[in-house]
Amino acid sequence: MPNGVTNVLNECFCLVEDPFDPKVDPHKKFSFSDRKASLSRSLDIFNIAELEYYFIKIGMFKDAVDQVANFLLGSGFNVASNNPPTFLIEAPTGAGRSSLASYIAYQVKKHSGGKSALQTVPVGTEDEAKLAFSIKKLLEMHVKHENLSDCETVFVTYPDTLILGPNGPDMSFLSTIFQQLSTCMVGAPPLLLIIEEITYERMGWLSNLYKMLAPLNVILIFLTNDVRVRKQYEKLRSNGDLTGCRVRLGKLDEQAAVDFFVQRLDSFRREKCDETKRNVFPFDPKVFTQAFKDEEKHGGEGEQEKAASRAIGVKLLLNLFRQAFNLKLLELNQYFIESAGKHPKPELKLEELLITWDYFNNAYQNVIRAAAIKKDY
Amino acid sequence: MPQRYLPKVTLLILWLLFSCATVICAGESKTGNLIILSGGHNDEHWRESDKYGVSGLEGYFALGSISLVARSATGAPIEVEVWSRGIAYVGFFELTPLVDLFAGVQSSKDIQDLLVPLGAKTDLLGMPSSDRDKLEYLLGQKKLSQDANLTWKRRVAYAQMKALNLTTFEQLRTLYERQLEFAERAWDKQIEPEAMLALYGLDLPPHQNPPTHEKLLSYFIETLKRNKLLMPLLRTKIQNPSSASKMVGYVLHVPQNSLKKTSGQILVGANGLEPEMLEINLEVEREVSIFRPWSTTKFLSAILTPTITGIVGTLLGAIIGYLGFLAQQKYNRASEAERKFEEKKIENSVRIRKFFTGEYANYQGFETEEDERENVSSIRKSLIQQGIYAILPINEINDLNSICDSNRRFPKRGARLLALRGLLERRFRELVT
Repeated sequence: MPNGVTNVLNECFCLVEDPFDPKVDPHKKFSFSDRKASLSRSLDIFNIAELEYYFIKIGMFKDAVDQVANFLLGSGFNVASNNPPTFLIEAPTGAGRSSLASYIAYQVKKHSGGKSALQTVPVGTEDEAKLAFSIKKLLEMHVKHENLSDCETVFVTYPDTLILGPNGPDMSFLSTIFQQLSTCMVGAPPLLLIIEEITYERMGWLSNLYKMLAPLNVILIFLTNDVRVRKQYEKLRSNGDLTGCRVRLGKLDEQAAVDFFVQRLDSFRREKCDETKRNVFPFDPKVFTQAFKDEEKHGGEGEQEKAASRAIGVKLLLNLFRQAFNLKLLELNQYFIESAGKHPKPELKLEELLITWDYFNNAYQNVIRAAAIKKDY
Repeated sequence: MPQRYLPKVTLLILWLLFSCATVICAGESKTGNLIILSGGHNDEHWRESDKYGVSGLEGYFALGSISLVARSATGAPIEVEVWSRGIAYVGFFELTPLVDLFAGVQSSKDIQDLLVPLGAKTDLLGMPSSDRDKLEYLLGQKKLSQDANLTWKRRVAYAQMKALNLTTFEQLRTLYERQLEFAERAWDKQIEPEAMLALYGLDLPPHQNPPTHEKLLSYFIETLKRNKLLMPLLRTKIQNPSSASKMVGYVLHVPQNSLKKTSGQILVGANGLEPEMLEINLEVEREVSIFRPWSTTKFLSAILTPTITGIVGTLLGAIIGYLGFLAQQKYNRASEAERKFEEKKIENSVRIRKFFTGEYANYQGFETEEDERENVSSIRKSLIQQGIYAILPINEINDLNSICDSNRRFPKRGARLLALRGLLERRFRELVT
């Protein structure tokens, strides 16, 4: 970050770092750049535990975290007993489900003594056998990493050439592999797999994968955005076909968004700064009202008609606010550059520091443009 | 008798026999050779506006007359009866009763000598009174009424004097001459109410403007009714043929709204022989007004002509046929849709049953209204993705979409899911359980 912008952050907003894309956190002595972490992407808490501090637990995030904690305490999950739970995260994309999945995996790792591996299995087709084959490959890596020599013979016995047929992987071979692995993987460090994502058509995989992989101490974290998958999961859980915990994430409403950014900014406040600017919130409150206003709907029966509010995913919110913030920073930096030689040094009023809706309009256009470019490519 | 006269006598006898037979045969016809009839209305057309109001009786009135004449003189008067058949409300009245009564009379003294002969005068001595009173007295004395012919004449004369309020024979003579003149002129033209009023010595009713034909007729008929001169059966007598016929008038009353066309006969019989018949035909032309919708209007009349009736009937038939065609098409479409639905249901029965026995149960429980909406929405999504939605008939699809519409309100929690359940279980009853 240019030196001028750092000065702006310090002097105008009492911040030590860009709260949206910091390079380092001097309070925690954590270098984002060195650890190849970023607050502008999903938080890899499983691998970088320090990121847990920046995982803001408000609203539905807090509820989900509490649910998982309570479940792990009460589930009796024991690595040695090979009764791994499953997790279902019901959330739309961009709502922070990947970060939550990583957080859950991290909690499970802590619960199981700190030894486990996490992999994300993206589901590209409706072919369950292909997914099972991908999982088999990950298991192979896990077995090799954990030096489970007994299990390695299973993979040698059933090479890929045997499994892969003209019509794709043969599910029966894969099932056999998994069955044979169950004996050698008792007590092995758990492998956590994030299955992204389970759709309605793939609902049947919930129980199939659990049956195949639970004996291997594989902990499945299912991601879904379909209410029906959640209901099926609950039915399987109530029938005893699987054990697990399901959590739900949604988009942030206006108040949740305000709380989120307040906490995010507080993470990067300077310890010492002007009292008037200590708690400066750079965003004009009207920005939140305008951003969350749903002009197509009206709410409030029996009362004065008011526009209904909508919810926005945390990913999009971060993107928009980050862009607007950066625009303001550049503007303020330019102002400081221009007024560098002036005496006395001109002071900016609080109103002049606020990021107004105009900045968001431009930011929104940039986001739309970027999405269009990405779509074209 | 010498034999040379025998053929002549035979011929004479034969001629006498033939003559008698001819007379007898001729005498056996309807009224014999006694009466000649003329006059009467064969055909009458009225318009609805021609109705006359007489003493509160609304309707149509026709005035007509019949002339009665004897072909040959007879010693005793011929009894004539006039009545009607087939037509109701016919009243007869004598216009010229004195004609044929005072044949050859020149003065009132002649009338007096005729009606009150010498013998009768002696009886009336000491009882001076008007001529009318004398006739009344004489008619009441049986021993003075031996002559039936004379009695008849006195009766007719007295009736006339009483009806027209005449007191002297002079007045009677004047009336007789008026009637005679009337009867002689009756051959020339139709009888008018003014002439009949004059005949009866009635003045025209008081009017500032000249009275209309209807008012005169009404006044005349009222006068006849008041004086009891209008009779359903008229009896009169004819004695001598003369150039002046005896006039009998008749009034036909047709009630306004009950008849449009009627026909009948007026019968004239004499001495009990088969009567002569006069055909009477009456037709009322209804006036139509386009501004009277509940009565027969010009519009309806135009429509009910054969041509327009045919056109309208054809149009109505076409419209009814087309509507029937549309209904049939609708029924066929519904039947076809139902048949296709049943076929597709059978084809996809395994998949449908799998849905209802597996996943469907996941969406039955709910705690909040949002949960219920979620369940309904999930069912709909699953139906679409499973291809069950496409099987449903279009009307059920519309109902399903309406149930799943979040903007639609339901009276209480659970009603939405219940409605959806009802629809699905109605259509897939055998596959749900």
